[in-house]
Amino acid sequence: MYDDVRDAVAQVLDPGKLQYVVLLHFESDECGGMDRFLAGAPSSALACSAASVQLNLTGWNYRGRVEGHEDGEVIDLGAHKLRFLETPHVHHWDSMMLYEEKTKSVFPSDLFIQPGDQPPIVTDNLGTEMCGFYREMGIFAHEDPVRHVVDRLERLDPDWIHGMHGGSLPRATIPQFVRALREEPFAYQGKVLGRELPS
Amino acid sequence: MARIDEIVDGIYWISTTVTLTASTSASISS
Repeated sequence: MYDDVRDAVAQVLDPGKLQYVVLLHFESDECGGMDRFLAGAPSSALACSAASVQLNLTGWNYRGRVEGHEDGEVIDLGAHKLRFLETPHVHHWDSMMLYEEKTKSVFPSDLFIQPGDQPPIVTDNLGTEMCGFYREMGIFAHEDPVRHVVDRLERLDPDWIHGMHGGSLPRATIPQFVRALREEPFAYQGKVLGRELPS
Repeated sequence: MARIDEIVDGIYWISTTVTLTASTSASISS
């Protein structure tokens, strides 16, 4: 996966000139290969939540430059500004999200997931499918911390939500997913990755 | 080869498939 993603990035910019690699939570499908991106970009730094540094990076033999960010801090890239949102338990203790101020874009990590192959921009209402997928995978322990963050994201009034699994949601599609998260159950119900565990 | 599309003003969508679902990530060019 690393080679595919790196080659795609290379169509837009030189991966050797990356300034930051941002880690939203510590799972291999989100952060696998981060060390290779950083090794290939000598001036780059890993940016993650302050909690990720304390809980996960410390003691993992990570030797690269790392910045742990707290809620509200901003990385100014010039054309874009990345504001950090600490979002504990959505879905890990150290989870965070990003808000890009120029394009009013939220990078919500694994929230607003859409199962299956999706186009780059999703306009279908897949809110019910999203909640069903969460119950099947068992990635959220409880609805409350998630709904608290959904309220917070709604106050940002984003134009875009760019999830890490699925397509980007434009402004008109976002309320359908928000409604599902408010009204439908999606927390852990005894299944992990589709496997029923003993009650 | 992963697919890449510009969504909005320097925000790119990169799509590649892993075991469980279609996995995507977005990168930002400054």
